[in-house]
Amino acid sequence: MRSRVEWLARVVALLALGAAWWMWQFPQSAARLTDAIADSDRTGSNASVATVAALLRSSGLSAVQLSLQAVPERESRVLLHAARDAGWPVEWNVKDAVTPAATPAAVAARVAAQANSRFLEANAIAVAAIPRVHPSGGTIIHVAAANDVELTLSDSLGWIDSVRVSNRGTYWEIPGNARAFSVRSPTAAASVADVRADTLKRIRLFASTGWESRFILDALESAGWQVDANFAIAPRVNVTAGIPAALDTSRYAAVIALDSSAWSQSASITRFVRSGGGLLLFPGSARGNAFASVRAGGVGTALAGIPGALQTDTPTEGLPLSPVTGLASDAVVMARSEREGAPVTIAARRFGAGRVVQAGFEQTWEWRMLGAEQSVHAHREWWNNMVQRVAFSSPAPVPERWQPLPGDAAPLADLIARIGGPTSEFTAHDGVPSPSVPPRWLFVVAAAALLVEWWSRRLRGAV
Amino acid sequence: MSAFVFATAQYESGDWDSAPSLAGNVIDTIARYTSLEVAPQGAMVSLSSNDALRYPLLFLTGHLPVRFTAQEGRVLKRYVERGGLLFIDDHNHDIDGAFHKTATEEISRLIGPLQPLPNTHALYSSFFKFEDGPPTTSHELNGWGDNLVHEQLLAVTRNDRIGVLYSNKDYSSEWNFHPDNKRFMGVDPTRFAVNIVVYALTR
Repeated sequence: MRSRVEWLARVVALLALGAAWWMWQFPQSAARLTDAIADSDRTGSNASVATVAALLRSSGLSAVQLSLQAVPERESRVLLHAARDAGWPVEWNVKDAVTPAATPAAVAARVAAQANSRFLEANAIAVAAIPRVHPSGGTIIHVAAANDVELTLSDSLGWIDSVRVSNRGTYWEIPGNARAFSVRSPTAAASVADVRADTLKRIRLFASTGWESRFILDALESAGWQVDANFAIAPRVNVTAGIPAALDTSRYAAVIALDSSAWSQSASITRFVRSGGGLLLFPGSARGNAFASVRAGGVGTALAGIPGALQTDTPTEGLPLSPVTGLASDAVVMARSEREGAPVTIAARRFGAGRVVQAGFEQTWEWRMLGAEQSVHAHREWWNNMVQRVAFSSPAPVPERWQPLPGDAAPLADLIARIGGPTSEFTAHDGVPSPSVPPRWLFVVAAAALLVEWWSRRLRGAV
Repeated sequence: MSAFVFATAQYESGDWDSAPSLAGNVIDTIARYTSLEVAPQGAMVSLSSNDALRYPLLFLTGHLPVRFTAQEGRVLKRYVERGGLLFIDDHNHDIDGAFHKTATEEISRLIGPLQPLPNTHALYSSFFKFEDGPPTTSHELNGWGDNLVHEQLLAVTRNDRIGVLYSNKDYSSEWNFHPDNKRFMGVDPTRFAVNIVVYALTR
C-alpha cells in the first residue's frame, strides 16, 4: 500500500512538472484571445495577461511601441494593458511626433512634445450621463472636450444633435428613454451605456389657498408631476390634492414652501432637506425664523412688478419681487433682476445632502394669466425647472464590480490609465522579457507530491 | 397671499348688472363659512379688457340676449385657455329664453360645446356636500321661465378642470336677496357659491 502511495506521488509530481513545461512551451492558442480580452474588459481586471504574454512571446517582440493617429478602440486598449501587465514595455507617442533620424535631439524632443500635446488636446473627450429628474424622463449628458471642437451626439437610432464646444464642455438634455449615447469629435469618440432611469417621486406643496397655489398645482400637474397638498379652507376643513404623507425622500423629490403655512412643518422640512430632499423657498416662507438655518438668504423689501413687463420676453420683471438679500456664505446667486440695483431673484445653496433654491418672486400666476401668448407654457416650464433644480434623485446603485478605469466614457483617459501617457522618445530594448512562469499551483502540487513520497520512504526506513 | 376677489363680468350686450346684491351675499357667505381671505368688496371687470385675466373666477349673468364683441370673445377665449373659470347663470331660468340661447351659442362658438356636468362631480363636494347635484332654487318653479327643475349644470372642461360653468338654476335671483334677509332663511341658499369658489381656488 505504502509503495503505491509513493508511486502515485511520483506520478503526480511528474505530471505537474510536465504540465508546467507544456504551458511554457505551448502557450494558449490565439483563438482564445478574443474571449480573454472580452473577459478582461468586462471585469476590469487583467485576465488576459497570460494569453497576451504568450502571444507576445511567440512573436519575439521585445517591446510594444506604437505611433498613434487616433485613440485605440477598447479592445486594443485592453490588449496593450495586458501586454504591459505581462511585463512587456509598452510605449506610445503620436505619429506626428516622429521626426527624421537626422533631426537634432533637442528639436525632435520639442516636436514630439508639441505633437503629443496637440493630440491630447484634440482627443481628450469625456462623457457622463445622469437621468433627468423630470416627469417625461430623459437624460442629461455632460461632455468635457477642447474648445471649438465640433461634437456630435447620437443614440442607437442615430444622430441627435451637434454643437461646437465652448468653455471646455457642453451638455444636452435629451427627453425619452434612450439608455446609451455616444459623442464623437472628428478624432475621438466616447460613449455611455445603461443610463439608469430614476423613479419619479412626488412634490409636496405647502401653501395657503389662493390663485398662486392653484396655478402651481396646475403647472406642475400638467407637466406630469404628482403633487400633494393640503389646503385649509375653514377650521377643521381641508381640501387635499393628491395624498399628502409624511416627508421622506422615499416619497418626495422636493418641497415647495410658498408661504407661512409651511412654518409649522419647518423641522420636518429641514430634516427632509438634510437627508437629500429639495426645497423651494419663497418670500412668504423664507421670512421669519422658521427656515433661518436652511434658507439661502434673507427677504428684502418688496418691489412692485414693472408695468407691462409680463408681456415682454422678460416676464418675471413684471412680477412682484422680494429680493433675496444677505446671502448665506455658501449661497450661490442664480439670477438677478433688471430692476434698479440688480437685486437677487434666485439664490441656491446646499444643505446637508439636499439643495435649497430661494426665489424672490410672488404671485407668479399673474404671469400665466396676463403674460404674452406662450405664457401658460412659459409659466409651466419655469416651475418645472425650479423643481428640477432641487429635486431629489435616488443615488446610483453601487455596481457589482468596481470599474477602476474610465472605459469608453473617456477613451483617452482610459488609454493613459492603462499604459501611461505618450513618450517623446521610444526606449531601446534588447531581447524578449523573461517569460511568465506557469501557474504556482503546479509547483505546489509537484512539491507536495515529492514531499509525501519522501516522507513515506523515510517512515519505512528506505533510502 | 392676496385676498380672493369676487368679480362680475361686464359685457356690452345685455344686462350684466341684473343681480346687484349677489356679490355682497356671496362674499358674506365665503367669509362666514370659510377661513379664506376674501376682499370685502367685489370687482366689476369688463370682458373687453385684459384686466379680466386678473380674476380667475368670473361671474356672468343677465336676462337679455348676449353677443360678445370680437374683443370680448378674444379675452374670453384667452381667459379659459389660461385656466380661468367663468360661471354663467341664466337669470331667466328659461331654456327657451333669449339669454340661454344666445349665451350657450356664444360659449360654443368661442370655447366649445357645453356638456352636462355629472352630479357626482367634485364641484358638489368641494366644501358642502350636495348629494343630488346642484341645489334647486326657489325660482325654478315660480311660474316664470321654463318652470323646470334643471337637474344638471352644463360645463366646458379643459384638462379635467371646469373652464365654463353654466347654470339655468337662476342663482342670480336666489342669491340676490337683501343681506338683512339671510337671517330669516332656514337654509342658506348661497352655500353652493362656496363650493364654486373653493373648487376654483383648489382644482
